Amino acid sequence: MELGRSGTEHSENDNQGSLENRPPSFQGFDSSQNTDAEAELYEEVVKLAHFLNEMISKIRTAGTVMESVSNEMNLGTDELTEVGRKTEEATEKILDDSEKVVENHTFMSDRINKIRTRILNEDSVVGEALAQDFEDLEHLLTENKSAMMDLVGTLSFQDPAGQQLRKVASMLKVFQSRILKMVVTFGQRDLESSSNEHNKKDLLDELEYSSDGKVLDQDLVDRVLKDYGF
Amino acid sequence: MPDLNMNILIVDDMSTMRRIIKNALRQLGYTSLQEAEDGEVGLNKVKQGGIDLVISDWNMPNLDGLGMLKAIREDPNSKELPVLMVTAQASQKCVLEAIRAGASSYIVKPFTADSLKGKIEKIFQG
Repeated sequence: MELGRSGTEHSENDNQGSLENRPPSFQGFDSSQNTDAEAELYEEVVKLAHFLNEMISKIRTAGTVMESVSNEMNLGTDELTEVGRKTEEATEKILDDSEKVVENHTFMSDRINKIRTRILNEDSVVGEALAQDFEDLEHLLTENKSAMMDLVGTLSFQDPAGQQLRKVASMLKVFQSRILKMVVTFGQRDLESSSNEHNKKDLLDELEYSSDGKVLDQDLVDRVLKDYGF
Repeated sequence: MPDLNMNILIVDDMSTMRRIIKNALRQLGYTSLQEAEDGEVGLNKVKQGGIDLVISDWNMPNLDGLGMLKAIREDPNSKELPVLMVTAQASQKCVLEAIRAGASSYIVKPFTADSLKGKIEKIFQG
């Protein structure tokens, strides 16, 4: 009579009996060693089962949090899109105003030249006395024109900025789809009792395909959530 | 000094960007400006003839700027047409790719009117 590592009592007969049922690879080993190994293995399997059960329970609890995070990401994506839209709107408004400024600039420059010519023609003494003032005005207008040209060119920041925003929004969508997949896979609700399981698998596959670096279709996300009971 | 009356084609999918470039060019004195919303439309306009300079974005639907540039270079009627890339792609790899594809010059957004003026002048200086 001996005790295994688990403290279970085994008789010689028990060992012999169980040996007959073992696969060939186990036969020929020392029976007391087999008992120890079996007990150890059983213990490990039980521990693993507990661990998995605990993990699944935790993941299911986390599912609610992940669902909430996923929804927030969706809001974040919407906000980024809105930032892009508003930036474009503001750029158009600045362009409207800059076009008006340029138009006024052309008009003023033209008027200044006319006044200068008229004064010079009517009274050369006064005309010459005001020559410096006219030059200063012309200089200021040229400076303004140059500043306006730079301002208009700088507005092209909108394209790279928009591209960056779209990239971040796309990354958020990918992340969101991955989280959704986790929520659906680990925290699935009523999946076993569902009659359209095949359809759900298709949706998951579609979700996986869509998350492959592409912008995720919001309708698809909503369909998956709806089909999985969220 | 390039001819201020030359026909310039602006190719960009964003209407705001086309407007910005048009504004900058107008302020530089260029008056004959045409627009196209992607590479495909741009290429068709080039094939119709009469274009002296193409200013193109890179990222566009249907046919992107690089694709359009390659198509322009492959066509014997337009292989010498100056093409200036004005894009948000700022990496060395992209610049080299565009130059290898036959871009006459390259400007990274955001640009200044001075840099646009300088690049156009340099292209037409030969």
